[in-house]
Amino acid sequence: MQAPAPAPEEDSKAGVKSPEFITIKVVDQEERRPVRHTIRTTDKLQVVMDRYYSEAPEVTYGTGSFYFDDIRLKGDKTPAQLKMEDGDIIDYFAPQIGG
Amino acid sequence: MGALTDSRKRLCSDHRQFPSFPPSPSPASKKPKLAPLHSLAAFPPSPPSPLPASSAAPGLPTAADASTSSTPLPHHHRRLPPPLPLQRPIHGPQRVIRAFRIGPARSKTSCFSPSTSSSSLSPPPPLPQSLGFEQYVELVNSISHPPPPIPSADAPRVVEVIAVEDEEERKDEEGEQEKEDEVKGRVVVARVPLYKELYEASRLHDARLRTLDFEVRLAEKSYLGLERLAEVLPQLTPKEVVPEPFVPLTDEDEDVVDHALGGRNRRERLAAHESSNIVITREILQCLKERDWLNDDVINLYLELLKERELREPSKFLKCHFFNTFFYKKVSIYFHDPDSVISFFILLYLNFISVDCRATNLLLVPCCITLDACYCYSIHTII
Repeated sequence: MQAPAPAPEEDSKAGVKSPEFITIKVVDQEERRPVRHTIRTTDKLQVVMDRYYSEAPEVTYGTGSFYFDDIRLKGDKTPAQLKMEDGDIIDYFAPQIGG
Repeated sequence: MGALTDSRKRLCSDHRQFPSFPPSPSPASKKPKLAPLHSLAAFPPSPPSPLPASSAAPGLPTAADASTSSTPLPHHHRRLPPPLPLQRPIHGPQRVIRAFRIGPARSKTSCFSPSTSSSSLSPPPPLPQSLGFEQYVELVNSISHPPPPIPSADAPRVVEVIAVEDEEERKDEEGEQEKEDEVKGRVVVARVPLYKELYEASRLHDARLRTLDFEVRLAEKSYLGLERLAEVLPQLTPKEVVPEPFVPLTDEDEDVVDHALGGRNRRERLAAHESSNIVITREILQCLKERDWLNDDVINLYLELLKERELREPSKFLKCHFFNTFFYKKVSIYFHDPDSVISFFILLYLNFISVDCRATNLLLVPCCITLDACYCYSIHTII
């Protein structure tokens, strides 16, 4: 069972691209501890967001917004779609309320 | 007085020659003298009648006889009144009539010295003869009463005089009008041909009139230019129906707003902007209610909509670059360091360099300052 398993991985490496592991750092603006998370490029970014929410208990889940190069991130996007590289930083912004 | 003496003489002579002459108690007044005039007027062609020649009752003077006795006796020589084949002219004050070709001198002479006039005046005029009582009455009537329209030669003369006076009056009026015009500020344009040259000459030296003329010419030229502009303008800019910026909501819009703000499911996704990945749920949108605070999603979505509108009609709107609300938050970290201002501008430049800076007129940086809980915009104009 293990033998045929790497075969499709190799095929995918050869055919499309091998799923690379990249480490993404999520930084908020209050200079708290950055949250690092390593995911595949084909994984959804929702995993990173969940990790951040879990690491920062004071942040309510689902609030705030993540930005990468002035692009708001959606949970269903993958790093490959946004052309992320290893070591890129995602900015987290707490919800701004005013008026 | 002379008349009285004459009458005495006459009386005396009458008494001598005619003892039957009635001794009038009063010296001869003018009324009994006029009485024979009546008789003469009543019987104009009456020659000295032979009837009273005998004077039938010389000793019985009566009033009736007195009237008849005054008639001159043809066979007897008498000084006064002369035996006139002519009618006796009028004794007494006469109105001097200067009209109707009746000279005053003639009438006087004819009045007071009829005997001498007939002899002295070489042309025996028929005029004194025409001055009988009837003519006198006619004259008096014609003068006292307004004369009826007389087709005489004098009438047009009178009309001419009146016309001349009218002309003079008109001239005076015109002169007064011009004076009034001048007094009123010399603004009124002369409408009279008279004195026009003088008036124009006086206007030449008026500075205010010159300025007024200049203004009038300027207004005319500008008006002409505007006319041409009105001809050309529709070709230059075809009419575009510009919708009003604030259109009152219809009932359907009100229903949509009530549904968006008043629904029960707070997690319902009301709108999703694909390019900016902004999802607006009812919970987010309810910040637009009264007495609620705005949030970043609404502002950012609104800015995204502004961007799209600008891209849709680039000729109609200024070219702007909108940063999102987190840009200031991200940049404000560097304000704490002394060298942060430089780095801030470097960051700003790096952010801005990704935009087509040459084609951008405005930079809008929305700032959410959490301490004051307000949204504001810093607008940078790029010249």
